[in-house]
Amino acid sequence: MASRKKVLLKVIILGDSGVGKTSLMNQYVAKKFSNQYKATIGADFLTKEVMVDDRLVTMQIWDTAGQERFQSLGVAFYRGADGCVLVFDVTMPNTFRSLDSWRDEFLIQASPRDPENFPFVVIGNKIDLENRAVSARRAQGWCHSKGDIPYFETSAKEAINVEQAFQAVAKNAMAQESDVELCSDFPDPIKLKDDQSKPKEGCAC
Amino acid sequence: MATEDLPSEFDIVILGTGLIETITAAAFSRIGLKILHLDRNDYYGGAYSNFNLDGIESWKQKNQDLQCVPDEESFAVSDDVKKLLQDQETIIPMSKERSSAFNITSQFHARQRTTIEEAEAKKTKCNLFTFLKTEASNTTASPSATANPVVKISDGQGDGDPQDSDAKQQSTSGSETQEQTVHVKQDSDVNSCTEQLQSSLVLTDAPQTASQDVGEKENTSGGGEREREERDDIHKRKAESSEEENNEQKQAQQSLEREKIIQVKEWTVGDIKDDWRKYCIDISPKFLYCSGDLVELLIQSDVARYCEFRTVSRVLTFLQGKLQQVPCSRADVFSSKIVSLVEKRLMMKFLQFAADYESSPQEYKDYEDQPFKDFLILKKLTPNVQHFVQHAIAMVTDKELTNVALKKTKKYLHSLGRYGNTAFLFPIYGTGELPQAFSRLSAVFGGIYCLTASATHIIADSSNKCCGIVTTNGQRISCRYVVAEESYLPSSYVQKNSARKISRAIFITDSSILSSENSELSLLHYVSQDDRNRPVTVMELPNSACVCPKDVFVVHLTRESGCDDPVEDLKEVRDKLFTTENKDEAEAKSKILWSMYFQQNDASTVTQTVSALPNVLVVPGGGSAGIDLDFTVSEAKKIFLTVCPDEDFLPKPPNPEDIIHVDDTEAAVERGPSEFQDKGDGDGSDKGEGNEEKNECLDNGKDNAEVKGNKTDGNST
Repeated sequence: MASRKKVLLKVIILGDSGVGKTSLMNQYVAKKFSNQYKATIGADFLTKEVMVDDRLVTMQIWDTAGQERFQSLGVAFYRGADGCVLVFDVTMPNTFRSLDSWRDEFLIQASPRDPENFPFVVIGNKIDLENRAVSARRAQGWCHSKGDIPYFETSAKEAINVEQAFQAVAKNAMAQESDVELCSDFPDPIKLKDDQSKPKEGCAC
Repeated sequence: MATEDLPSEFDIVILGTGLIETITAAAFSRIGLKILHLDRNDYYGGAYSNFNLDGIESWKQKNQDLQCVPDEESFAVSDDVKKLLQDQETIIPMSKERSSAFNITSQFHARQRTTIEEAEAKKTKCNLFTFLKTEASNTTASPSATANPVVKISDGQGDGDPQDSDAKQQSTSGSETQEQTVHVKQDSDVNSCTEQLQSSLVLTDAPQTASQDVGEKENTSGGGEREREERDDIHKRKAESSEEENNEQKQAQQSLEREKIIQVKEWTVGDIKDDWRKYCIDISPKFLYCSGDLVELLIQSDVARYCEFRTVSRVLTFLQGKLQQVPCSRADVFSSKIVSLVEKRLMMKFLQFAADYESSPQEYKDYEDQPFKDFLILKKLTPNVQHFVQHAIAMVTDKELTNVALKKTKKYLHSLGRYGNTAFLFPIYGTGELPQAFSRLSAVFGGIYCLTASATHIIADSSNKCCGIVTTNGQRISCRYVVAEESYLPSSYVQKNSARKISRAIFITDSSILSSENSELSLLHYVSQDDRNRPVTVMELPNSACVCPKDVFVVHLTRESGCDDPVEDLKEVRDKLFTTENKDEAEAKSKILWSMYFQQNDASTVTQTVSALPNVLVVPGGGSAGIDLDFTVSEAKKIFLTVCPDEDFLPKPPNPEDIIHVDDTEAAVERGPSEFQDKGDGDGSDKGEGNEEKNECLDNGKDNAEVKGNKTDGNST
C-alpha cells in the first residue's frame, strides 16, 4: 500500500503583475534572464529536478500566464498545489501590500489541508535596483506574522538567492508530503499523451 | 492586485468562457492573434462550470433572481456610451444576463445535527476561515465565489482523515462555535441550506474533520464494507436461487443488514456541509470518448498537460430488473456471467462487424434507414445482446436509425483499449476544468483574461461591420471580430433551432448504486418506461474523481424534458436506484443525502441569424443532453476557420523549455499584434489580407520569443 511514488511537486508562483514571477522561474530553471517585460507570454510551467534530503524530486513550477493581471486566475490553477511562492517587487510597496490578498486567495482557492503550515515562501525581488522602497525588516515582519514564512531577497536579473528560495519551497513542500504518506488509495490519474496511440485496427474487443 | 484598464485594441473579443469559446480563444491566441476574453461571471466555464456545494447554492440563487429579467431586455444606450462613438458609427445593445436554469430546487435529505453533535464537531475543527479571520487579514478574497475544494491526487486523497487537529485553532474557533450552534437550533428547516451554508462558510469551514469524527468515520467505512460484501452476497444469491428462496434469504439478510446499518453513521446536514469545499459539482457533466475529437485535440494542442483524468470504469445497464455491468471488451464478454456461451459468440461477432462496419456494406446497407433495434433483431442477436448493444454501447433510442447507431457503436468500440478497458474519460475535478485548461493555453500565448466583465454594446462602423465593443466598465475596445456565446448577444442575432429542454438532477449519495470493492466511475443509460425515447443518462462519480469527499458519491442525471417539472421527469429512475429514507427502512439502495433539480434550455444548436453583423460570430450555449463533448471541437473549429481559413487549428505548441527569451533593446510592453492592429484598421478588415498580417505578427512574436529549430516543428503528427 505505502509504495513510494515518484515525487512531483506542483509549485505555483503568485504576486502582482510585473514583480518578476516569470523571470524568477526562468532564472531558476533555465538560468536565463530577459529585461523585457512582456506580460508573460509563452510562460507556462517549467520543471526542474532537485535533490531534497537525498531524494530526487521533480518540481513543476507554474506561472500565472498573465491571468492574474485582471484577477482572473481560475480555480484550476490552484488545484493540487504543494507549495506556493509569493513574490513582490522591493521597489513597489503596493506589490508588497498585495501579499495579504494573494496569500488569502491561495488558501481559499487551493484549500490546503493544513493552511497554517502550508509551505509558502516569500520573495522580495529586484534587489538589484536602486530605488528600493520596502525594507527587508518590514517584509520579514510580515512573514513572521504569517507563521514564519521563509523570506528571500532576490534578483532574478543577477541570479541572487533565486536558487535558495526555490530550494526552500521544495524542501518545505516535501516535509508536508511526508506527513501525509506518499501513497494513494487510488491509482495515478491518467495523463493524455501522444505516445498512447489509437489502437491501429479494429477495436480492443 | 491593482486593477488597470484593459488594453484598447484587439483582433478578437470573445464573450463567455464556455468550452467552445475557450477552445476558440486558444486557437486564435496560438497563431498570434490578440485576444480579449471576457466573462460576466466571476468564474470560468459559463454553462460548463463546476461549483462546490456553496457555489452551486449561490448559482441557484442567482438563477432564481435572474428569472425576473425579461427575455428581451438589453443594455440601455446612455449618453456616456454615445460619447464613445465616432462619425457614422452605430451602436447595438447586447442582451442582459438571463437565467440559464429554471425550476431549480435543492434540499438536504438528512437530519440536522443535535446541539451536542454540533458542539462536538465545531470543537475539533480546523477552521480555515476562522484562521484567516483571526489573522485579521485582508478581505478582498471573498470566500463566497469560486472557492472549490482541492483533493490532492498524489498524497492519497485521504482528505477525510485528518492528521492532526490543531489545539490552537480549536481555541480560536471556540467563540464562533456558540454562535453557530445557536443558529442551527433556530434554523432546523432543511430548505434553508443556503443561509446555513453561508453561516458555516463564515464561521466554521474546515478542510479537515475532527479527530472524534475520524474514529467514527473509520467505523463507518468498516461497516460500509461489511454491508457491501453482504449486498454482493445478496446479488449473487439472487442470481442463483429462485425467487421464493431468494425472498426468504433476502429478508434474513436484510434484517442482519439492518442491524449492521444501524451502527453505520447516520449522515447529518452538518457532516455534508462541513466538507462543502471538497465538492466539484458540474452544471454540464460530460464524459470524453477516449478516441474522440476532444481527446485528440487535448493531446495535439498540449492542453492535456493541464488536466488529469479518470477512466469511466463501469458501464451499467438495467437488465431483468437488475443493475448489471455491461461487458464491452473481448475480455469482458468472455468473463461475463450474464451472457451465455452462444451469446458471447454472437456478441463478439457483432461487435467485430460494428468496429469496421463500413467495410462490409452488404451487412447493413439495406437497413441503413431502418431503426437500429430492428437491425439487431434481424442480425439474430438474443434479447440480452440486443439490449447491451443498443442501450449500453450505442446508447440510442428505439427510433434511432441503423446508420447513426452503427457510427456511435463504432466510436465507442474504437475508444476501448486506449486508456484501459473503457471507452470514456472524466476530467478530475469535473468537466468544468476543461474550459480553464484551454483558457490557460490562450493566456500562455498572450490572450488577455478578465472575469466579471462583459460587453454592453457592439459598435458598428459605416459599412455595418462590427469595429468594437463597449465593456461593462464603459471602456471602448476596438476589434475586428466578436465571438460570443449566444446569451450575450442581442436576441435578434440568435436563431433558436430547438425548443428542447433538459431536466437535470444532482445527488450526493452515501453509497454506490452498484457496490464494488473499487472506486468506480459509472455510466448508466437508463431507459425510462414512461417514455422510452427519452432515456436518462446517469453518471456516478466517486471520491477518486476529486468531485466529493470520501464515503459519498456525486450522481448526475440528465434527460430531455417531457414536462416543466424536472423532478417528475427523473422520478422513475430516482425511485428505481435511490432512496431518501434512512437505510433501516429501505432496501440496500443508495441513499440521497442532498439533491438539486433544474431545467435548462438546450442552446447547443443555435445559429446566427441574417441580421447579425457579419463579423459577430455566435457560439452555441450549453444545455445539450448528449453524453460527450466532441461537438464542441467542431463548433470551435468552424468559428476559427471562419476567421482564419488558412491557419492551423491548435497545432502543437513549442515546448516551454525550448522558448528562448531574447533580450530586446526596445522596451516593448506588448508584443507584435498591436502593431498589426493599426494596420488592420487602416486596411479595413479584409479577410484575404488577414493572413498576411497574421504571419507578420507571428514574425513579430519571434523577436521576443524564439523557438529552437523550426518554428513549426511543433505541428503534431
